[in-house]
Amino acid sequence: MREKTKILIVEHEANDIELILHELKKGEIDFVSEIVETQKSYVKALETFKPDVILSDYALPSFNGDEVFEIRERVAPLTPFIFVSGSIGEEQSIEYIKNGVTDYVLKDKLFSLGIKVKRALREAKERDQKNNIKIALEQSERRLAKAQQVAQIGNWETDLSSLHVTWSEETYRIFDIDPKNFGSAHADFLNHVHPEDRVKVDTAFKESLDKTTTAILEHRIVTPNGVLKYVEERWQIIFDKNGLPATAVGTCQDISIRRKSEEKLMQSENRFRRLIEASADLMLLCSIEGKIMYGSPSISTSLGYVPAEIVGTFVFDIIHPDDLPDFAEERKAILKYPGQSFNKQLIIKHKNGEWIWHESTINNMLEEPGIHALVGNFRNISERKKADEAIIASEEEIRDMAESMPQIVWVTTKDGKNTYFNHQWMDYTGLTLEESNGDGWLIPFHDEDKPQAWAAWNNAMNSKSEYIVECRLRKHDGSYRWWLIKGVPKLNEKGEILKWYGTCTDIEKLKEAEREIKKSEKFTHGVLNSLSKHIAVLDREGKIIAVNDSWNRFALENGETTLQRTGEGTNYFDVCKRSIQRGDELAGAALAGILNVMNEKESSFYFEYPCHSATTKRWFGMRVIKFVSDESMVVVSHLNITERKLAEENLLKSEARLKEAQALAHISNWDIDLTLNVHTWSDELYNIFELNKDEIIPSAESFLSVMHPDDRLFAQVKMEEAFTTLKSSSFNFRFILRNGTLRYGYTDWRFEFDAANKPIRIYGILQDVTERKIAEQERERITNDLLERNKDLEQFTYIVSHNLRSPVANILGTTEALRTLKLEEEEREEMIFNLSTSVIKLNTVIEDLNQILKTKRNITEARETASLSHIIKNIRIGLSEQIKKDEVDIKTDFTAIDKLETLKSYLYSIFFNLISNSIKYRQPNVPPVIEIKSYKTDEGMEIHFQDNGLGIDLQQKGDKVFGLYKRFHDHVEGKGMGLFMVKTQVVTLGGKIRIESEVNKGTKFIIQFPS
Amino acid sequence: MKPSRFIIIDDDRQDISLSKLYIKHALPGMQIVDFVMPEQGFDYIKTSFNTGNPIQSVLFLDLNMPTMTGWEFLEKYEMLDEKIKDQICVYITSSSIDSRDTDRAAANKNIKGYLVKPTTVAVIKKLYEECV
Repeated sequence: MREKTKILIVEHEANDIELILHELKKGEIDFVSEIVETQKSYVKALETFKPDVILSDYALPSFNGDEVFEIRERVAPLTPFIFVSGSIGEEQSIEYIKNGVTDYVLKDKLFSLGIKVKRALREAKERDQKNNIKIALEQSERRLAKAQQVAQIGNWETDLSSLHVTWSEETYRIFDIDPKNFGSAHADFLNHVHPEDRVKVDTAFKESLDKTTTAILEHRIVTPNGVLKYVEERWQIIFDKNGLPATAVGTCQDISIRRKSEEKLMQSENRFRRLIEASADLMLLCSIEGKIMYGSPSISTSLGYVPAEIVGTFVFDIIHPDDLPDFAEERKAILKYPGQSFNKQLIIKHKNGEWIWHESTINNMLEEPGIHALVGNFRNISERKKADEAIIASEEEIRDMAESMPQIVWVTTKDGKNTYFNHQWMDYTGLTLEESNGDGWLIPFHDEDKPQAWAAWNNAMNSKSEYIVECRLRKHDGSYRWWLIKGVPKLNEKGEILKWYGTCTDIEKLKEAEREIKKSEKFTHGVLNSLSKHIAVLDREGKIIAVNDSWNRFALENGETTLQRTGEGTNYFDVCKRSIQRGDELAGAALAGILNVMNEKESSFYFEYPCHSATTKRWFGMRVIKFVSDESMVVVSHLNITERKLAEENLLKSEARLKEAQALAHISNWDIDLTLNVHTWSDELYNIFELNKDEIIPSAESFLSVMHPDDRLFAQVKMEEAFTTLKSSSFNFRFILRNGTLRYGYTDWRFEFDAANKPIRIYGILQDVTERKIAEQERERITNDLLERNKDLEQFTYIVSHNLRSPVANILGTTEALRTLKLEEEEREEMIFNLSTSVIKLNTVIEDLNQILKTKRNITEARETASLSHIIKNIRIGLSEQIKKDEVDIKTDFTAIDKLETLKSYLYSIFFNLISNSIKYRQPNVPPVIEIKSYKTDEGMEIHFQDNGLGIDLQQKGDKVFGLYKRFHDHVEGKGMGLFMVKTQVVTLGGKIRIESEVNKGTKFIIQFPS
Repeated sequence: MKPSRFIIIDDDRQDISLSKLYIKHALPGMQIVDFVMPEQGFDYIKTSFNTGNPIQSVLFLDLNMPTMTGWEFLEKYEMLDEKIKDQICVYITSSSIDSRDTDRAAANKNIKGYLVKPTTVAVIKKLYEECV
């Protein structure tokens, strides 16, 4: 369907409007219309109504026809515009048409309106077709614009006469300006240039006007949004045929991105330079010869020089002489190789002469453009050096600490390779550090503990948590000890393991203690269950909490099949109560006892009760005590004491028997309880001492009081000795009965010790050994007698072989000579004399022997009181002839003691022999002087007999003086009988005799007789 | 060399006369010297055998003597010069048949023999024959 033609009518006169509409209808135009009369409604209608044709009055009250046209030109330039006016003239109308007004209709010639509108519409249509071609062109232009947009290059043209500018789309885009809002004058363009660049841009533009070359200018612009952009303008001036500048044609390129990166680059260069300049590190550039070409400003702070001062000097001058050889060598090594560098710690001289540690990097940049130098970077590391030293010191301290720890200290890598052990590890395992490093620490683990240790390790590794395990480690001597091994991981900030630190602690003692406790527990348990006692623990209500095996065993043996009556969990009070109900009185006593202990009325309870079974007699002892650990519990135990009871019965019998046996054997016993110091004597002991039990209290003092006074000291010493040595002992003693009878006793004892080796008791026996002692004494006497007799027999053997044989041999020889030899008469007589002499000798010997034997027999003769003075007087009479002849002087002194109980005849014989000897062996030509004196002594008496005779060399003859037939002098006749007889008689009288003598001085005999 | 002298030391004069009688009858013309005191006998030996003119002799020594027993004599004799002892053959003449005496004599290297009294002609002859 054909659209109606939209006609906008700008008219304020209603009549005119009516006429216009009339004419349009008449002109057979299918149309719709809108009528406006103000500028505002006009502009709005242009935009919303979009008329196909505009009919406008020229003279309007609010605005005139020129303004209407101008607005149409701007807003809808292609819409046909026809003036409908009454006042417009011919000339003016032509002018209007030139300017673009489509046509004009005078109000008085409205009849042509229809035709003119139709023509305008037709022309517009035709023009639209032309426009389509133009649009295609414009499309092509747009593509260009797009290209310009991509390249961010726009183009422009400035008409130099009007200074009107024409911009391409891209130019607008670069400037970010809506073409509608742009004044299109050169001045408008300048307004968008960065204020600082306006003069520069305008000047460049003006200066370019007479040049034919392409002008290039970079400047900044500011978009309406305030964005700063960089653009590069390139333009050329086009001259007219008169050679005058007509147009400027140019491009505008947005170079902001390029400029920004350039700026960045510059900034970075700047920054870098600043870095060098501002760096605390000293930078030196040196020539190949070592001459300093540049020194960064920090040299003033680091080394005290002003950069200018240092430039031109040689770098070697400020390096410490010690470092110089190495430095020179390394420097030389990199000279040939551009790009090579070396690092070195150097000591560099401060201007004030101080030497300062520097970390230096020397770079060969000889080939580097713009540098051509050896570049050295020097960093003051004196602080770091100090810190390093401090770290070393601190590490040493930590190491010392680790070494001095009693534990083993170790460090491993994150995966458990050992890197450190303190010496305790080496000391213990006997491994060297080399052997222990890495996986070496696995060696000493006990095979049985390895799985556990490995599992713990893996667990610690996975969970990054503490590694803790107890295991045995082998000692260097092959033995194993228990160790507690602990390790903790050191984690970094990401939670990854860096290292493991750990210790090993010797817990052998602890383990041992544990084992001991376990053993002890097992032991206690074992002991409890092995006890024959039936033990149960009861709580306050009587409930059985625990029992031992024996308890249950007893219950089962007594016909209980299920342990429901007395087993664990049952109530023991109920058990007792049931028994009481059955009339068991003992059960009542038991229950009362338990309750008393439970209620702390008594500390313990014990009673013994019979519990005979049908076939056997049985007794039990029941004990109740507080349970050690808990006050509200008691321990009840029953012990079968049948054996003891039976033993007690037997003991009573056996004690009676023992008593009888002791009485028969005269053996008694005694004991001392050392803890209570109680002495006990058996009945037989009283019997032995003939004392009544109520007369004397058994004690050491009582014992001593019965003893013979002479034996008391010895007995006391013996007893005290026993108490100090704590050893068994015995002694013999004499004791005196009440009636004065002396008797002999023997006692023997031993100690009993407790577990702590403390003596607790002494057991002793005491025996009356009088009969035995008397028998012993008799035996001793007989033995001595026998010994004496044996001596006598030996003496007789000697006498027989010598003294008796001597005359016999002579007789034999003489008779043989008489019988067989042809003797001269003289010889014969001599032999006969010999014979008679020898026979006499033989007779004498026999007589002597007879006398000796007689003396021995006379022992039994009754003693009588003899007076020494009387005896000597009688001897004087007997020897009076010799005394007179030899002028013997006998002096006696018996004032001390004169009378003694003795055998008178023996005493006479003794002194007779001694006096005869003194006279016989007198010194030649010296009258014999004999002194006899008696003395009283402790033991009895002594008689001293002194002469002034020849004396005897006792050193030679001492042992033989009193022997039978011992003669020491040859000049007088002697048989060697005298002194033998003296001694025999003295000894028979119970005395002793000894001799003192000096050759040619005299002899002294000392005779002792006991009282 | 046969002994040319007999020395008798015995405290019993009867024994000396008996010994002398037997020696005379066994070895007629034999020189015999006798001593009742052994001390004198010892002095004789000590002095008369030290002349440089050896006289081979036989000594009859009694044991049981009062002032010096035969054993005491032998102790002193032991101390004499070997030259003297070489000239003398010592024989114990004793009535003792006590084994203690005979055993003791056998143990003494200076004693040539033990003669139990009485010493008869046959014994002396045999003794003389055996002397070298």
